[in-house]
Amino acid sequence: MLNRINVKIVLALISVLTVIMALSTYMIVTQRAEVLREELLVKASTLAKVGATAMAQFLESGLDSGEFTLEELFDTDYREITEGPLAGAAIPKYQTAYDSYLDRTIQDFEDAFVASDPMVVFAVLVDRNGYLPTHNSIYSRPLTGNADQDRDGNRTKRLFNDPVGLAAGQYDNSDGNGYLRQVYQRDTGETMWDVSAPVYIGDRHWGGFRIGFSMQQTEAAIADLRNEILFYMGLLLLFSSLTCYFVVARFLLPLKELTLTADRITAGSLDEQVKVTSADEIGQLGQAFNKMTQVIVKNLQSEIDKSNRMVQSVKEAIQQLSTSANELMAISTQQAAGATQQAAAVQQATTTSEEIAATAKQVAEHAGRVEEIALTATSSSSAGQQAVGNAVDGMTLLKGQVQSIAEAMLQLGENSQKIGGIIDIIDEISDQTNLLSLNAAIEAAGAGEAGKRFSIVANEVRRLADRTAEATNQVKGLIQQIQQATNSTIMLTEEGTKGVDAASTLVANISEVLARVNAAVDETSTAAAEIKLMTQQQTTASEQMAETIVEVRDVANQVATSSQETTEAISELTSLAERLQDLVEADLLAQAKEQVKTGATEMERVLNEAVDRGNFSLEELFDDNYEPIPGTDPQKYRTKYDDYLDRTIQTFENGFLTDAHVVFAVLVDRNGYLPTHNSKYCQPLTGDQRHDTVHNRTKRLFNDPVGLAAARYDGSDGRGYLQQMYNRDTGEKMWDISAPVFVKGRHWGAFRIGYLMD
Amino acid sequence: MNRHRDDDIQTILQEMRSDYWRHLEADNEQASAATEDFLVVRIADRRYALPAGDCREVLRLPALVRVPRVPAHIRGIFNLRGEIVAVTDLAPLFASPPQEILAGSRLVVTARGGMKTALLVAAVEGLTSLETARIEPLADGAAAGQRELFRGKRNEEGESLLVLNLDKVLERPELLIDQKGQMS
Repeated sequence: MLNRINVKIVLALISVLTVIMALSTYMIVTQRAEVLREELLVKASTLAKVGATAMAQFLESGLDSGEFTLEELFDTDYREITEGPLAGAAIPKYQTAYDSYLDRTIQDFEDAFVASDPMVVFAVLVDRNGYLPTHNSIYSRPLTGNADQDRDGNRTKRLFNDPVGLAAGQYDNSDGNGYLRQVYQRDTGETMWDVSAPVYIGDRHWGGFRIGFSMQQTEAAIADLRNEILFYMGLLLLFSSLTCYFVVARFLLPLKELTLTADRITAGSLDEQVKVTSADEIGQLGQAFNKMTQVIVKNLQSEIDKSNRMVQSVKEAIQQLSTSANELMAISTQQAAGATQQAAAVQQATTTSEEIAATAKQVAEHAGRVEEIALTATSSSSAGQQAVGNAVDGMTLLKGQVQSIAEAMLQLGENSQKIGGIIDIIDEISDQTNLLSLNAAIEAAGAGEAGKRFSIVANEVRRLADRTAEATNQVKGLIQQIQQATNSTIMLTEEGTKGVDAASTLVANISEVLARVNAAVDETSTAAAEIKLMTQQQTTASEQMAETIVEVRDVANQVATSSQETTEAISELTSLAERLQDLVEADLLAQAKEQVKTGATEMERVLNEAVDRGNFSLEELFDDNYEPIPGTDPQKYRTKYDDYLDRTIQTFENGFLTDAHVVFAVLVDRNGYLPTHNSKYCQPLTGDQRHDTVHNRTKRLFNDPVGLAAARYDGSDGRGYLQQMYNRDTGEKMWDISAPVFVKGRHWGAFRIGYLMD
Repeated sequence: MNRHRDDDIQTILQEMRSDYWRHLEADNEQASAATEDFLVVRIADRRYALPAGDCREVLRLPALVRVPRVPAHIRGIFNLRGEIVAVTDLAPLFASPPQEILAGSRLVVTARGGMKTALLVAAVEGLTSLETARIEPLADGAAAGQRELFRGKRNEEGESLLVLNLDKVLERPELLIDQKGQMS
C-alpha cells in the first residue's frame, strides 16, 4: 500500500497540509482570543473606573451628609461583629462607622454591575486593607449556620487580604495605568479576572473598586471558534487528499501497464509491446522501453552463448584450482611435517650441544683435577728422587759394611786355619803320648807283676791320649765347619756386594725414571692446562652453537608457522574452490549428496542387521587384522565379513552405476579396506598385473590420502558428507563424495561414490 | 753354643777324671784269674793279638831303606837306636795283599829268641789281658800250614781276635830263611 506512488503523494500532502493548517488555526485562534480579551479588558477597566468614581462620590456624599467623619472613614480599626444577624459566622466579619451607610447606598449600584453583564461575578468596594464593607446582594444572603453554604452565600464585611484582594485594595494608580488587572484561578476552578480601580477621597487613597470577571464565557467562545476552524480545515484536507489520490492514480495507469509488460517480457514473451496512448513523459518512457526491449532481445542470445562458454571455462578453472589446492595441501602438509622434523632435529641438536657443553665442562673440571694431580705427582716424584738419593747413600754405606764383613770373615778363616795348625800339633802330641803310653804298657807287661800298677797308669795315659785325639778330631771338624761357613759367608758377601751394586744401579735407574716421570708429569700438567683452555674454548663454541641452533629453531618455527599459514590459506582456497564448485556444480553436488547419503544409510542398515542376525560379530567387523590373500598383486585381503557383503550389497552398489557420472559406488572401512567392489571391478584375475589393477579392484586396501580421508571422515564437521577432488590412479579426474557409516553407534567406515568430471 | 761347648768340655774332663780313678780301683780288685797280656793290632782289616811279652816297643814308621832283591813282605830296614831292624809285612802270610803305608801305620818291635824284627801293622789298639782258659783252639777246617801260626782265637762282639803264635810265625821258612840269609 505504502509502495504506491499516489498514496505516497497523498501522505506527503496530508502531512504538509496538517502542519500548515495547525499553525494557521493556532494563529487565528490566538489572535481572535487576544482581540476578545482586549475588548473585555477595555470594557472591564471602564467599568472599574466608572465604579471607582461612583464609589468616591458615594463616600464623599456620606461625608458631606455627616453620616461619618473622614477619620471614621479612614479608620482601620475594624470591629468584629458580635451581635445581630451577622454574628457567629465561621469567618470573622467586621463593622465600621460607614458600613451600614454603604449597605444602604451602594448595594444597588454594585448589583447593577453584576446584572448588566453575565460575565461579572462580583463588583465591590474594598478599602486599602481588603475590607469589604458592602458586598453584592447575591453574596449578602442571611447566615444559615452551615459554614460551607455561608462561605459562598455571605461574603460581606470580611477582610479579603489574600494577595489578589490586597493588591486590588492597595492599588493607587502609581503606575499611571488607571486600573489593575489580576488573573487568578478562583477557588471554584474557573479563571477569573480581577479588575480594580483606585478610590480617592479628596487626595487620599481610600481603597479600590473591584470587578470580578469570570473568563468562562470568553474561554468557551474561543474554544468554539477553534473547533469550527479545525472542522473546516479537516474538511478541506479530506477533499484535497481524495482529489490528489485519484488524479495521480489515473496518471499512473500507463506505468502499471508498462510494469506488467516488462513482467511478461521477463517471463519470456519477448515480442510484447507497450501501447503508447499519450505523448507525455510516460508515453515517452513507453516508447523508450519498447526500443530497449528490442535491442536487448537482439543481444540476449549472443550473451547467453557467451556466458555458457564462460561458465564452462569457470568450471574448468575451478577444477584446476581445486586440484592445485589439493596438491598444494599435500606439499604444505609435507612442508609442515618437514618443519616438525626439523624442529625435532633442532631439538636434538640443542640437546646434543648442551650435552657437549656439559661434557666440555666436565672435561675442563677433570683437566683441572689432572693439573692438581700432576702438581702433586711432581712434588711426590721430587720427594721420590730425594728418597732415591738417600737410598744411594745407604747403598754405598751398606756396600762398605759388607766389605768389612768380608774382610772380617777372611781374617776369621785365616785364624781358624792357624787354629788347625795348633790342633795338628796337639794331635801329634797326643799321638806320641799314645805311643808312649803303649810302649810304657808293653814295658810294664814285660816287667811282669812289678809292672802291673805301672801298666795301669800307662793304660790311663793312653786313654787320655785317645780322648785328646778324639777332641782334636772334633775341633778339626768344627774348624772345617767354620771355614766352610766363612767361605760361604765370603761368597755371600761377594754376592751381597754385587747385589748392592745392582741395587745402586737400579736406584740410579729409578732416579732417572723419576726424572723422566717428573718431566712427563710436567708435560701432563701443561697438557691439562691446554685441555682446560681448549675445553673452555669448546664450551664457548658450543654455546655459540647453541645460540645458532636457537636461531635455526626460530627459523624452523617460522617455517612451521608459515607452512601452517600456508595450509590455512590453502584450506581457505580449497573451501573457496569448493564454494565456487558448489555454485557451478550445485545440481550435480546436490544429487551426489543425496545418493551418497542414501548409500550410507542402506549400508548401515545391512551391517547392523547382519550383526544382529549373527552373520558376523561386531568384534569381527571392527577387526583390523586383515588376512592377506596369497599370490595377489596388488595385495588383496580377506576378512570375516567380506563374503557376506559380496552376496548382499554388490547389487545395491551396482545400482548407482546407472548414473553416467558415477564411476564407482563402494563401501570401505575406516582403514580404506574395500570388501566388495562393483561387479564391473570384480572381473576374473588374469595374472596380467596392469589389467588386474584396473579391472579387479575388490578387497584391496585403498589407503591413499583420498581413500583414507574418505574412510576416516566421521561427519564431525557437521556437513554429513566429504567431497574430494583427485586424479584417479587410472588417470581420470574424479569427484569423491563420501558419507560416514556407523555400526551400533561406532564409526565403521564410509560409503564412497566416485563421479567422473566432464 | 760356645758356652755349651765349654760346659761339654768341662763335663768331659770331669768324666775323664772320675774314669781314671775308677779304673785304678777296679784293676786293684780283679787281679786274681790267670791272665796273659796281649797287644792287639790290626793287619789287613783283621785283628790279631800279639803276646805282650814278645813285644819290645811300638814305633811310628821311620824312614825305611828299601833293600833290593828281598821278598816282598820285607818292606825295608831302619835304624833303631843303632841297631838295624827289618820291617816285615805279615799280610802276604795271611794271604792278603801287601799293606799300604798310611799315617796311622805302626811298627811293633818284637824280640823272640834273640831276634828282633819290626812288624808292619795298620794300627795298634792297645794292650789287653785275656784269660788263658778262654782262648779257643782253631777249627780243623783251616789249612795245616796256616793253623800252626795261631794259638787260638777269641770271639768278641761281631769280630774275632786271632791270637798269634809268634814263635811259629817267626819260624816260617820264608821269614826265617830270608832273615838268616840276610843276616848270614
